[in-house]
Amino acid sequence: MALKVELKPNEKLIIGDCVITNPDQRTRFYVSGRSPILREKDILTSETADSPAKRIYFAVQLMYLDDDIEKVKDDYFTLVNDFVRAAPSTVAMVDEVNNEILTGSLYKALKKAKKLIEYERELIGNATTGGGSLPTDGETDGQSS
Amino acid sequence: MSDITLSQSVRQNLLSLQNTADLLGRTQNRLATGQKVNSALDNPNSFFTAQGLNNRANDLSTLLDSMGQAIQTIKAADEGMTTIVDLVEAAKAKANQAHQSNLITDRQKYAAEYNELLAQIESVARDSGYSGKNLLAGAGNDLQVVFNEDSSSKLDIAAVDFTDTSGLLGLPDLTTGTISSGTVTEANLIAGREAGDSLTFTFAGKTTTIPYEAGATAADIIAALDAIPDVSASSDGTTVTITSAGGNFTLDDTDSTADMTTVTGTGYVLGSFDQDTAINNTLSAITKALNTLRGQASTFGTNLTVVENRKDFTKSMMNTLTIGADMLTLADSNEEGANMLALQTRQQLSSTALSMASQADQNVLRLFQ
Repeated sequence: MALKVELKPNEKLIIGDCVITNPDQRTRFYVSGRSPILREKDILTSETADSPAKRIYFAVQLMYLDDDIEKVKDDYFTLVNDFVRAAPSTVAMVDEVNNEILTGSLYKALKKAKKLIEYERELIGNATTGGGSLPTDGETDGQSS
Repeated sequence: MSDITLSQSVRQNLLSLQNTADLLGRTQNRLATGQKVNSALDNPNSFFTAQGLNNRANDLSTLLDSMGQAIQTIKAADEGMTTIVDLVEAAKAKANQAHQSNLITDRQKYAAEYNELLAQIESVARDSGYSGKNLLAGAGNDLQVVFNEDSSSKLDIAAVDFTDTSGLLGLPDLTTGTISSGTVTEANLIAGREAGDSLTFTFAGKTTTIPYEAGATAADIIAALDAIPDVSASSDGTTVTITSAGGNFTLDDTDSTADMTTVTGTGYVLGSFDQDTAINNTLSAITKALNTLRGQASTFGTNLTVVENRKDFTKSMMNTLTIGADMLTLADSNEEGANMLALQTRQQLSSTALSMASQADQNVLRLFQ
């Protein structure tokens, strides 16, 4: 079953170890085969991977593109364990990512890692806006209520 | 603050672990209330999530054990094969020794020793099992290593059969060969002696002449026969036994005035190492066998690496689950957000980021700037 790809003008795509850059027209083509494929919107670079969850995604992306778990494995687990220590509520999600890697489904692992990024956005959003927690008491005025 | 996308993703993950609705309720509750949980009484749901994760860690631990068993099985086969390679090299040495020897007697001895080495190889192959599985014993010993709980990810390792060297290794037992032998009484042996006579001893196309004068004694004749390469002669006082390796023999005197009845040796059987062409064939077969062994060792080596890598990964996964489970009863979602921000800052300075960046520089991502 071939994968149908549609590229907008100037959009990029990675297939295997090549980068394909679309000139300034829309393009459509089909890709068959086993090389890794990533669309521009799904690619993180070491610069754009600037949060804990994005770094996890980035590590999985490296595994996917090289079809090799061993090189990044130690870094991956450092990131993952720090992530889980910071936010234990994510452990089940992280385990799902781990499981996909264990069973060799690296593309699925990438998809699941994306969910970590979304969840992290939630968490950080809560922390910076302080949403969901009780408002603090007003200033004491020394008077009985 | 509950976000539909978030709830769904958490639910899917937790349900896939435990398939209980409790997990869903508890997590949503935790996020909604930001409540800390210190014991089952505070909030039974979160407490049991931690337990659920520990249960999963235990399930993975079972998988880990079976991966460990597989590793031992492969290692046992590998050790067996190392010994077998040494034995095949020794068999090669025997064949070369036979090649260099001029005496059929010795060549037949080497052939017998070669066969003993084959028997040892078969014995080692039979002893290379671990816990009931022997990858060197052929049928029924294939190994399947499972990497996840529903067995959808697995590795099949095929067993080979070295318990009969004439099979996969192509090294059948040699025919040792039989020397020829015959007997004559001492009295008959000297019955034909006379002046000017001689004895002719013929075997394997070679003829030796022994003096057979009137004064020849049995002892003289026996000594002369024994001195011939590949021939031995001895007497027990009454009967003389003569043997020759390499062919049946005849012993006869020339003149017919006084006659010794011809003594013949019988029973010679051609041995595999008696002739050079046969030895060369054996050496070729050994070279092929060594290639087979090396190829198989390489296959097992690759299999071993795959299983060891999976085992290491599974162990790391269990560690992550335990970290999460231990901390799950302590955290609250506001803290988690703050923790995440702090982690983000720490990571900017970490070696992990650097190491991954350098890997990215070496793969296709370097083209994607």
